[in-house]
Amino acid sequence: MDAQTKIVAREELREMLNSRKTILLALFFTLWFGLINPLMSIGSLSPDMITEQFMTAQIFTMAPLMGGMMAYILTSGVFQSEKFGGIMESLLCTPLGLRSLWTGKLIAVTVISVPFAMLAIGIYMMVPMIFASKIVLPSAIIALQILLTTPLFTLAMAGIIGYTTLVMDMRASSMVSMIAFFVMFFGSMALGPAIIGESAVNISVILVSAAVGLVAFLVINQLASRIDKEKVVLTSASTIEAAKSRR
Amino acid sequence: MESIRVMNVSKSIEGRQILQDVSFSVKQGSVFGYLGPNGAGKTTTLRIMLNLLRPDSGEVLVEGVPLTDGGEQMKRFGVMLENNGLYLNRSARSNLSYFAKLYGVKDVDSAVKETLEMVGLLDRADEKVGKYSKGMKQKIGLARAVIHQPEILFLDEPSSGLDPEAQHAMRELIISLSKKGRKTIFINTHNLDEVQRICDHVGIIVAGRIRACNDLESLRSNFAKPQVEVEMEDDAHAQKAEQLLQPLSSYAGTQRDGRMLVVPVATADSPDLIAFLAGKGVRIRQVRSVDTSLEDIYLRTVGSTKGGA
Ligand SMILES: Nc1ncnc2c1ncn2[C@@H]1O[C@H](COP(=O)(O)OP(=O)(O)OP(=O)(O)O)[C@@H](O)[C@H]1O
Ligand SMILES: [Mg+2]
Repeated sequence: MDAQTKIVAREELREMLNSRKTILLALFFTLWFGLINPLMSIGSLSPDMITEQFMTAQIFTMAPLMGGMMAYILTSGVFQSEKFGGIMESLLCTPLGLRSLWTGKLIAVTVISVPFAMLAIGIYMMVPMIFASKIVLPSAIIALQILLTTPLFTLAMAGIIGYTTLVMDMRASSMVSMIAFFVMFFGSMALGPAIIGESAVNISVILVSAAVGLVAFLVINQLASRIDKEKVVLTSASTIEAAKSRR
Repeated sequence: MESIRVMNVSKSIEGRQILQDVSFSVKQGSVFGYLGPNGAGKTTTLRIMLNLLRPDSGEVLVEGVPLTDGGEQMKRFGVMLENNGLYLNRSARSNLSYFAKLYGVKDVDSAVKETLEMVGLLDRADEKVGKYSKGMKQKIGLARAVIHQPEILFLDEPSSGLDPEAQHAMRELIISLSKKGRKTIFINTHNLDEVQRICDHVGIIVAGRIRACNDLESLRSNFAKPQVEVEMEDDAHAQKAEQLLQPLSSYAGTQRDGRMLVVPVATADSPDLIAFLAGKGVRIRQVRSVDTSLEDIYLRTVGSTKGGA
């Protein structure tokens, strides 16, 4: 990590931690997806359905989703305020490269998102146990899903949103980010159980899902290393407004 | 010595030609005013000089070296763009210290303190910038532009939208950066008064082309139609003088207003004029030469290209 990346990461981290709005937003979604969501679906279950296999399958799908979702919620603010608030151009006049900017912000978002995602997963696990009033833990290998796949999905989703915010105008980037989010969301909702099928979640299934996150991240990381300053400048608010006001 | 040279730069955006064969150079230590009407291409030129946009053709040299994407070159530049680009939800101090770090300033705290002192906002450093007046924001923008002690300053309309007092303060800061700070300064503006007060070189761009570029004095003399204002004893003498001058081709365009005559002359010609009129018995009260104002030059440059296009 170069010095510039570190400066950006530290700055963004401090700003996010100091921002009540950011923390409340993260907490809200943590509770929503960790608590309210499972509470709403728990009625259709009977206590004897809550088995280790059930818990494992649930957490297997939820873990990467929570990471991706937290990233979706927190990343756009971190990039958009600069891009569309007219600060980006000034940043590009410093020795800071776009690559370091993107990476630094990504690190900050991930460092904040992952703990909240894990908190959401933790709460999510408690709900069925309380409902069934017994302790049912998912299989131990699910720890790998939480510790590996969740951060990878967080990085990938944050990377995609950061990248699109940099190279597209506001409307296009919100649209593409939303599509990326829905692909991830419904993709893992549909594919997760299908991959597992009837059999239990095993280590190779977890490794495959981690690999999906990793590949998505590597692809966006590659794209991000080639961002064109001109593209960023021409899609920034300051430029567009100036151009529009004259037509 | 030349600090920056812009060479035959052309640029089109979305198929529209914005700059056409723009060339000029900025001398080291000078204050260069880049003048032009709205939409002329000033900001686009600036963006190309800062490597934010790539020219379609032509290039920009900084002390003879082409612009690169490297950070080292950027450290020599201080920049305040049209939109001063401040984080409104952060304090002035935090705005400045972030940029100081990005520029690799060694002692961030004292650099921040010094620049805040320079713009006179040290006592309000911990307020959120969003609460500042426009003039204060511009000052913080300027402070941020110089926090790393750059050699060359780029300012895009630094005093636009400011009240006269704030404009004056901004101007004084720029002058002191130029004089005491010995910086080369490039200013985009359409404020002629400002140019006249702080710039020594001027470039005028209209519709993407440079129409005039020189130091202020040469520009004046190039454009000057030297004129003298002659005040006569009374209206009768003025009338007489007018009749005497009108047939003479060298004084064509003479105009009278009461007992005042405005007479176009070749530069060294006014003693001849006085002798001529005195010889014919016209009584002259006083003679004064009339300067061509920057406004004249500007309006003529802009006007002539509009008429021609
Ligand atoms: N991102 C963009 N997309 C399309 N056209 C643009 C863009 N940026 C600038 N232009 C066009 O380029 C021309 C020159 O713009 P520029 O901002 O350089 O003018 P300017 O001289 O700085 O004007 P002003 O005094 O209003 O700041 C304008 O006609 C503008 O509409
Ligand atoms: Mg402009």
